[in-house]
Amino acid sequence: MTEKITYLDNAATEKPYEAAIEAMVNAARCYGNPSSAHTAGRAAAELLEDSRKTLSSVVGCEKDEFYFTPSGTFANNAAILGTAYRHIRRTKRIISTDSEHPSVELPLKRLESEGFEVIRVTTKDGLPDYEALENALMSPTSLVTVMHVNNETGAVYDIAKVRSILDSTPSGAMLHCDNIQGFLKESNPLRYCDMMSVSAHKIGGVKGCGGLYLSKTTRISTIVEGGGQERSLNPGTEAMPAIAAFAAAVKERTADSGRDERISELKSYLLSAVTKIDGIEPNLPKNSSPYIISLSLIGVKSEVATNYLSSIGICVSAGSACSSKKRENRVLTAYGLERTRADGTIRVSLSPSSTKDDIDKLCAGLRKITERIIIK
Amino acid sequence: MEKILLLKYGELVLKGLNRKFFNNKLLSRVKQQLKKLTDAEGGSFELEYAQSTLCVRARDGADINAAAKLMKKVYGIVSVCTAYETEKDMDSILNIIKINARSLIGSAKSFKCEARRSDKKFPLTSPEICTLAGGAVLEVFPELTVDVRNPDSTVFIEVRDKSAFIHSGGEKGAGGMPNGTNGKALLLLSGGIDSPVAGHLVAKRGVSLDCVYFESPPYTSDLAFDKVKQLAEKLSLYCGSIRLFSVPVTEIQEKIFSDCHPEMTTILLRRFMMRLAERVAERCGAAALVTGESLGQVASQTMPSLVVTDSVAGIPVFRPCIGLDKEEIVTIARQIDTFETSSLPYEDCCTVFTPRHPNIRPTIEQALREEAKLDVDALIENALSQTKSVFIN
Repeated sequence: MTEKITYLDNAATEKPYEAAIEAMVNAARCYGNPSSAHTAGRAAAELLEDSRKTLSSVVGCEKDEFYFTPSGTFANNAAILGTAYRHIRRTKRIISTDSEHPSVELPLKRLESEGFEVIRVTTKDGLPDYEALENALMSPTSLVTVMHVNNETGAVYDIAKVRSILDSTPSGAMLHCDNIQGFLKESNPLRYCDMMSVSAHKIGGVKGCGGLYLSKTTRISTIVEGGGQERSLNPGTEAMPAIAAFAAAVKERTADSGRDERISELKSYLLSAVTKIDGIEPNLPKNSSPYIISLSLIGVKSEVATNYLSSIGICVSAGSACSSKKRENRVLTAYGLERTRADGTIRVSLSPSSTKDDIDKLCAGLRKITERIIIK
Repeated sequence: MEKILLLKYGELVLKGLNRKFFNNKLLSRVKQQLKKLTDAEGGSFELEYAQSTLCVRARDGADINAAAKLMKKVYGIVSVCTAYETEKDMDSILNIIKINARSLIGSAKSFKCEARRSDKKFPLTSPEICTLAGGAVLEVFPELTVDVRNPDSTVFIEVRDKSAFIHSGGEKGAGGMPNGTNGKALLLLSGGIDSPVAGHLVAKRGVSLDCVYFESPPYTSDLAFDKVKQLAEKLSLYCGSIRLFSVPVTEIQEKIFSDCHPEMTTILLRRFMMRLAERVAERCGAAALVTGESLGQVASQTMPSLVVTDSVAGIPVFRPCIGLDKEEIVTIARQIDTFETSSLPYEDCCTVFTPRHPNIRPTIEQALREEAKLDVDALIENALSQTKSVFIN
């Protein structure tokens, strides 16, 4: 990959920190299996526990409440399916929103096909319908699963409010939060959650590692059988290189204390620049993350725009990277965009290493597209 | 006991004096496909043509089942049948039936036997063969019932000149005429569902294919080209080697977009595509163009649009999907395994400058009026000069 690219697709994945790569390589050299009792195994086990300590302290939980998983997707699946099956005798009712990531939406669909009732509250304009949530929670429910930061629009959903509604209603539901786009980017919603998913490569770790916080009082069924690792939640040999890199990335990220302010400034800079370009309209939820900016190019298909930007070295995505292999605009339509506008929406996502220069290059590219192909 | 493939020829057995030409083409296609298999996995195949059937025998560990799969994609073959071959004596035949009763009968609850005896010197008559064969099946599966009118499964016993074949019927082959017996055409391959189906329907009649794809870099991506390449590869399993041409039309689209009436964008591009395709056809020796157009499906496929598009083509344009509904086209796309690839979401050039309200009743006069604003010849020459091609075998 050329070094000169302008990378603004950080919600898909971030460039790993050098420290994370180094930790990954070192962990690969420390090749023992953490489950083995011999010297090599114990060295790996020690690294595993050190990493868990780092993660749990940043996540804000006890060490044995944090489980390493192979991905954020796995963490979401484990939490949703595990809770649904655990409480199957009490209730087969689950509440979520209409704009969740496929790693939440698809397990929910699977549960529906198995006879579960799934209620999805609307999230028009990036605002969950809290009243509908409250009404839905009047009946016995096993799980409420709501994302913290929407991966396509950047809308921030109020997890504290969800908790307070949940506590004031008689459903008996657990609360799971997909915090994959919010981890170390938004205020930490952990204290409101019974379960929370995170992912390493969204914050400068490497691919192959996610994590699930599971409060001590929460019991879920396991969805994969195997050797009992991670207290049977993810019962395979631990991916030590990715786990060690996750811990290293977390340390790097938390050491950069001014990151959120910088990113907020960059977002303002981007928004003021794009408002000067005819044919581009940002989609701004009332409460939004500074890291994700959704832009609609009126009359241009998002894939056409991303192809053009890619040809001049600028990487952004159409909608979300996770659903870009399918023609669907479920999330943007739920946000309230018309089909044609959703078809022309791109996502710009920032990281602590993004610069004003990146934004300038992006705006120059966008200007060229709108001048050349905005449909009359 | 050996397994053997019996490939039944279709309509080419009705050919007259030129039948040998068709037979040779079919034989060479079969050989070419089987060679791919032996090159990859070793072994060899022996071919023997007798009584309107091509027999394929696997030698030295060649995979007869993989061969059967390939043969189902050879145009000209109407049925592919995997049979057990044995000596022409009743004991051997019955022995084969008993040993392979499970694979011959499957999970059927009723069966019948059907015997054909092209060797009239065989000591038993067809009904006598059936009686004994049925007895052999019942010996293995006494719970089965015999149903001669509507059986779940049929065991066929064919006593031929040199040996006997036992099988449970053939699977449908690709049909049509052998590759290369009916000239060459150029398929306008877009990456959608319809054009590969159109290519298949024409190639099935013995026509060799090359393909042309129009792209709009940098607005369309390499992924879109890869998708088209994959489609050409899937088609080539049926119709043999293909040269895939890609012609950039970005400049043409930008010129149309800036200088012409927005409602005419699509139809003008289609006219350019026809002109370019004709030139590519000339280059590759194709005598006709093939498109996946289906009447009324989209704005550029209304009757007036097709008239306007067609009027620039100097060679015949075949549109085998013209009267098919989308559902019918999808059914064929699934049969030839192009549907999944066609459904990948990458945009092609047609979607880059799509007007909000395309003219669905354009006229040739309107098109000529708009084209007068462009240097059509220069745009064509420039696009052609940037044409690239890959060979797919």
